[in-house]
Formats: sequence, structure tokens, C-alpha cells
Amino acid sequence: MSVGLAPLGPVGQDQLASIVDAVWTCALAAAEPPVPGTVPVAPGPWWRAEVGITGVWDGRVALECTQAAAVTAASYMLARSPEFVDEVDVRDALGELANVVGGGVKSLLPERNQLSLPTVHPLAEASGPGPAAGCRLALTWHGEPFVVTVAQADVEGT
Amino acid sequence: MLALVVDDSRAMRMILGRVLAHLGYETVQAENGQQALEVLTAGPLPDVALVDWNMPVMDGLEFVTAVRANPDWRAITLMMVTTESEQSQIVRALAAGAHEYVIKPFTPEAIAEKLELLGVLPAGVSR
Repeated sequence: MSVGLAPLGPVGQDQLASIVDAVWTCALAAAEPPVPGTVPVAPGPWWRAEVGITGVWDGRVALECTQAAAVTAASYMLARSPEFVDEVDVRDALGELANVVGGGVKSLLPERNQLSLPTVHPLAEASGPGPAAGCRLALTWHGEPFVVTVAQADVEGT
Repeated sequence: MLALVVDDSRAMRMILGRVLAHLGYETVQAENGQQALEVLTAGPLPDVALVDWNMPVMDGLEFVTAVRANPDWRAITLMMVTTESEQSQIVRALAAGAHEYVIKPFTPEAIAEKLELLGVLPAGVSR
């Protein structure tokens, strides 16, 4: 059995943008809000944080961003100068952002669903975000790309 | 007043800690429900605990249930602060003994408002 991604999602881009806006206001209160951007082609170290949703709707919510954006997010959330942000901080901060965005998406779904604990991992060097799937929101934040994706799991085979 | 923040995310513990410090609380922290029970056992007891739901080792609902099962901890005010927003989950948490429920993302004003409603804002604090 393999799990792919179908181009379906429970939310529209406007709804996802509202969720992201609310999360940034809560978690990154002192930071400038993200603005619409484009999915970048520029290479660079990237991070991916995601939570799974299972139940009535099965899928996942993922945040993908550059190392610079990840460090900036952790810096704001931990109230710590960027030069003192380490990998543990980045994993923690991005995981919590994915958790709260995922919770916002889950709130738009019919009951009942379960939200997984977040997973956070670096993407292969120079890979950037994966191919478009589901609802994708491309943002620019502090001059860095930040991509949020909601994608429904598509169970293929048996 | 003393507040216990229970959340597996250090970043979220710090965010809540800043909100609570602004409101005049001293804070202690725990990474999960099990660690929070150890904090309560060691004392001093907090006036209020802000508790995430989804945590490894022991989740927030298990923690709330454990606190309510101990008569010595009856005075602690329990407030869930979580991404879980389904009505059935809110009902479960309140039935288990949580006094209030705040859904992430929250604003500092929302936290202050709930604490004020619960009567556990430090004296002299204006929000």
C-alpha cells in the first residue's frame, strides 16, 4: 500500500490564509505578518514541519520554509536572538506552528478527527518545497518564502 | 500567584509564560502531563495550570483527570489551551474537570479574559 496525495483539500486558500494570519498573530506577535508570495524555485536549505489528520478526513498539513525563515520564527517564538537559535529550537518552533495551523484546519472539518503530534525534518539540500498538492499557500515572510500545504491522503492499492 | 504551563513545545511554554508574566504571575513549566504531576507533587502548588492536550508521555486530558482524582489538588484551577477544537473534545475536557478551554491560536487578551472569569488573576492587575 502506498499513500499519495490527491489534489483535494478541506479548505480554500482564503481560509488557509486566515488560519495562518491568526497563528502568526498569536505565536509571532512581534513579527510582521506574512504576505502573499510565489512558490520559490530558489535552492537553499529548507525545513518541513507537518501534522497528520485522521478520521472523517485523512490528510496532512505541512509548513515548508527556508532555514532563514525557520530561524526567524524560532527567534520570535523563543524571544531569543537569531544567533542563539539552534536546531532544537527550530524543530520545536516549526512543530508548534504546524500544530496550531493543523488545529485550525481540523476545526473546519466535520467531527471526528485526530491531530497527530508534529514531525519536523530538514529537506534535502536545494530541494525546496515538493510538488503542488491539495491547497497550497505561498507566502513571503521577512523576505523569505514560507509555503503552507493542506493535502488529502489518497490511499492507493491494497 | 503561581501558574503551571504544561505544553510539549518550549516555544509555546515561553509564549504563555510571557503572557502570564505580563499579568503578574510567577510560572513553572512542564513538558507533559507526567512531568506536570511531578511538579505538583514536589510543590508548591500552582493556583492555575494551563494545559495543552496533545503531548507525548501523558496528554492533557489524562493530566486533568489525574489532578481531579487527588483531593489535595482540588484547589488548582485547570484551563486547557490546545489546538483541539471539536465540541466533543471540549465537553470531554470539561467533564474531566477542566474549568475553562482556550483554543490555539489565542490572543493574550483571550487568556487574560478567561483567567479573570475564573477569578485567578493576580490582584491589582489591569489587562
